[in-house]
Amino acid sequence: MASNNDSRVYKYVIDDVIRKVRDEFINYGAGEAVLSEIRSLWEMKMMQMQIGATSGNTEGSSSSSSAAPRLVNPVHDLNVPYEGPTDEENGMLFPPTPLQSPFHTQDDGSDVFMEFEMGNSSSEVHQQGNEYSSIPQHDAIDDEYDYLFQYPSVSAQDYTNIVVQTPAEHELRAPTPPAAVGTPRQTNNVSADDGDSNENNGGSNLDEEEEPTAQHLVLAQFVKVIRTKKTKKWKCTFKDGIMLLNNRDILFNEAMGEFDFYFCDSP
Amino acid sequence: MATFELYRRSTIGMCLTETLDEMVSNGTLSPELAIQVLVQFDKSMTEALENQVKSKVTIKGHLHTYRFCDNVWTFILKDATFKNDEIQEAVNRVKIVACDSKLLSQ
Repeated sequence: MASNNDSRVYKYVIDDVIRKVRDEFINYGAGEAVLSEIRSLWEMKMMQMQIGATSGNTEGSSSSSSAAPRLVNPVHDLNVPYEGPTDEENGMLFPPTPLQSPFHTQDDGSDVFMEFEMGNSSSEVHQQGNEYSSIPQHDAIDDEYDYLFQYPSVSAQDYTNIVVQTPAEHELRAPTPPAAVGTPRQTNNVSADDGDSNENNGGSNLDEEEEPTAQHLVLAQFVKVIRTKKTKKWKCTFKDGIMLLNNRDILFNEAMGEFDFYFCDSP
Repeated sequence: MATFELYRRSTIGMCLTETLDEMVSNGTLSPELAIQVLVQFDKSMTEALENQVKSKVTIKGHLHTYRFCDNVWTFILKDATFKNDEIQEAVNRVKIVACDSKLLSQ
């Protein structure tokens, strides 16, 4: 659920996007009707998400109820033979037998996508019965430690794969971490008040334990990240962010974070 | 102009992605145009957050995990609180994904 001000911002974004892609649609011969359909569907989905967010679900299930509308196609039970499209290309790409691992229904919401993250990514496409053949590329960090975010559709990622072939490829896109990420590294972006900016203290214990499930999300830009050695506090400055907390959307222009981190220095 | 695809993971971004996915699947929209729409969304969302939103938030919590890779910070907080003039939210766990704001000014 978004506040009135946030709703106004969303409406601005929708209007702005539709207005600015209109020329492209005309050049491509897609027509105003297609553009109108995009707008209608987009707004309808936004309203559905907000209705789902205000349905009064608890924190544990709210993410599932909000995630449920996000599914585009019905989910197939892995325990029954898959009868997907007979497209030859799809037939060549997908395994002939479904995965044996249990498959959560959409009632489990985000858990569904964590399962797929660990499994064969093509099976996600397989189960949704769509025609995309590319292995999904996730925008943000999506390494073996991160089961948190799955997309109900691989389309955005496939679009990303196709990006380099479009006229827009000359535009610089800020890099996002690849699907397989190695050991995290410290860089000069971290500075400390008492001068331990590049101390290699091993970072967090990412390699030793899995990241827990997080149902809440903040997407933002960082301006500054500082770690103080003595107090073990991290002080971060963020800007231009969207927060999905307790099933509500909150936008911010600036955010100051103070985090405690207790790290045991190993010999 | 540099753009972040980060905001596609927001509610509005996911709704747009699903919309485009449906239309591409049923042949109404070409993938190339869908990409154009997503790229424009990245720009519009970034610009809207910078110019249309004035809210300031404070975040406090216990840092469970941090990671910095490819100019993206990821924090996982436990028992975090978010406050601004209008709201106060407490969550058990939250993930913060933050791209480098300097990249947009390049």
